[in-house]
Amino acid sequence: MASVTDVHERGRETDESRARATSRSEPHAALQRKHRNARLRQGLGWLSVGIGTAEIVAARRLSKWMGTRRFGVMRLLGVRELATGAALLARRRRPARFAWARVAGDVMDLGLLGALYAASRRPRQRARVAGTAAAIAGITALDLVGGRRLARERTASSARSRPRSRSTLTVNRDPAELYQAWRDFENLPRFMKHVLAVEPRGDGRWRWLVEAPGGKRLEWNAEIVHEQPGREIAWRTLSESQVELLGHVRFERAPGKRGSRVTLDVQYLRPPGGLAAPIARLVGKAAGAPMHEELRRFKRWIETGEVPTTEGQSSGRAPRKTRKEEERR
Amino acid sequence: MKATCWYGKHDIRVVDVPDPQILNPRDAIVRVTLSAICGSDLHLYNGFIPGMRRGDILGHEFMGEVVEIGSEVHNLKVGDRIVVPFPISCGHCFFCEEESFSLCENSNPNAWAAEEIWGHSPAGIYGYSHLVGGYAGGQAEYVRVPFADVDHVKVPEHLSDEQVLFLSDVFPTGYMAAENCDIEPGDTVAVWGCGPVGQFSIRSALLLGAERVIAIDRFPERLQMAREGGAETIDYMETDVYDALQEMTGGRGPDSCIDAVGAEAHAPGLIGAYDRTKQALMLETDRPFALRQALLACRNGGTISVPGVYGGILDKMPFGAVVNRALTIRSGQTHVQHYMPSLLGRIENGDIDPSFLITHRMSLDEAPHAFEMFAKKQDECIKVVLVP
Repeated sequence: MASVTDVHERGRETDESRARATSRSEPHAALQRKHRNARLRQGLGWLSVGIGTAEIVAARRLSKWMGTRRFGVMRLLGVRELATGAALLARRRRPARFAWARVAGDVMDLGLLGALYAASRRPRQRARVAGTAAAIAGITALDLVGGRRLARERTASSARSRPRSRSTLTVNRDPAELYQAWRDFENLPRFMKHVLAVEPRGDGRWRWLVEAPGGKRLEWNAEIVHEQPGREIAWRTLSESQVELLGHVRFERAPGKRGSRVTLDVQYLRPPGGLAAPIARLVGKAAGAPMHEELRRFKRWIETGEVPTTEGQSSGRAPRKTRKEEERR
Repeated sequence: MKATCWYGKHDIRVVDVPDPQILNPRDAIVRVTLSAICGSDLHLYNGFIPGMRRGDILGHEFMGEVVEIGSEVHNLKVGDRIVVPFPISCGHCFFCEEESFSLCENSNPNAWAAEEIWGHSPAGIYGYSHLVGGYAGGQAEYVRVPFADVDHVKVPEHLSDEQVLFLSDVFPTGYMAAENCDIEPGDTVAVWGCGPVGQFSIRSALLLGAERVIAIDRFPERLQMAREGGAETIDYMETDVYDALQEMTGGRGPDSCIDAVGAEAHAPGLIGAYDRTKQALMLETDRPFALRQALLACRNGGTISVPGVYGGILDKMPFGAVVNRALTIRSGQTHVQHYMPSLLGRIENGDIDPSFLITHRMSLDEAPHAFEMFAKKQDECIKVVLVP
């Protein structure tokens, strides 16, 4: 049986570095990538803002320098740059889209410069236009690289690939107790919001009943592929399941009287499609948080004996009917 | 039942809502016998706290009689008379075990939202926006109390509701603010703001052995109440606060400063206009005028204790004063559960009778009017209690 480490494709991570990671964990590679991409997005955004401001403020001088009097066009280009820059800086979803907008803008600029080049007669003016075009071409190359990198981030996290979610929390209990509580899979529905039931099939395998967003019900069978009592459990779905995923939870003693550090790692092994796609989104980046929320509910359930909630409390809002109530009618 | 609900800025209504129900095994339902409007409720009223939803039930200072208990509440019974602390705390997480109850890791169902703006989430709080859980509050006839086995103090028959109600928030909050000053014999403590928390800070500082307390406000009735509590006073509309404090402390500054004002400080002149403008443009969320003044006035190596509520991003803080003069800043939502038993003891043995604070007694139906009156400080209003 392949160890969890292999299945998770930890790659270059050696046993030694993993041992170190358990006591002093370094930021996860995905976190570093996220940070790099955020900086890239910001860089492109400020570049847009800078160019846009220059085009608006110095429209007349820039136009004149390149030998045209149509500085209105220059201002419009400036407005376009500012809009793109603002969208990139405002941390809108799908930054790649706006990075591509930058590329489209560059192409447009190059086209305009081409027309200007053809129309200009004096060699000095031609040289200036050509120089500007070269600069724009350089920026275009930069934008292309940026767009591709940001686009990769999106496909890497979209439901079509193999979404993965990893999160960690400190729980005020011994690793052994936490292991025991998790190992009894029948407990999972008590804190996992979308898991309706986990039942033993009798052959060491478990049948999961899960409610996907949108109310669809999914079923799959899973088996434990690796475990170390008191430390970790890994499970994966059997290959005939609609959803093929690998789950891994690790319990490590936290320093002092801090209990345990619990790390939950869920990954899709095959791009899920059809009915299973919505559940994949739960794990995917857009919903990296929901898996963290599952882990948080585990902590809360085990520390307090219940999962704190305000669902069903009174308010001055018109009562909304839950789906279950609708079904009953 | 009737409940005081928030429908928007300056829009509070008392409406009929469904009775609360037990949702979890450690819940209890309390029939509210007395509740109060807190100064921090005014930040909601004035629309400065994000994360409110139309129809949220307000109120985090309340007490009453237990009418129903969940299956896992073993230390309460129907009929018990309890005061409920405003932070909701599980009692079993790392922070609850070290009695930092307002930092409970488990009680805020919307912890992710708080993490977005504050980095980490504090405990849930009744009726104080969905950032801290969106729990229905106690300015109502009934209220659901989660973790009721941990979050209560039983009060004896011979003490009236008005004497013990403020154990829910303002008394422990003022007390913790004073305790955070680590008062030594001979110390002078300056208190910005003579609202309810300021009043309890003044009295607590003296109970904890301060030599002098200097209170700062502009409303005569509040300054009067501060003097009755043993403080000397400064009216900041009449005198420059820094100069007055320098003179009163022999040029050294107060040993500790308490900012019991928080996010909506009133400031005269240019700096006040600056903060109001930035706040209106949403470039800062708070108007930290009192805090700035406290940082500059405090003596070298002194402590700034901040019970006043700030919500988000503050601007133009003289942080150089903190570094170069070795100031300590201490703050936090109050760990009410930690203080309730000992402060109940102080009420019982006559050290203090918190009911001095109440200026207005009104019925729950009058809550909208009470909010307006309290916000505009009309009719010398300092503290309103509401009887359902």
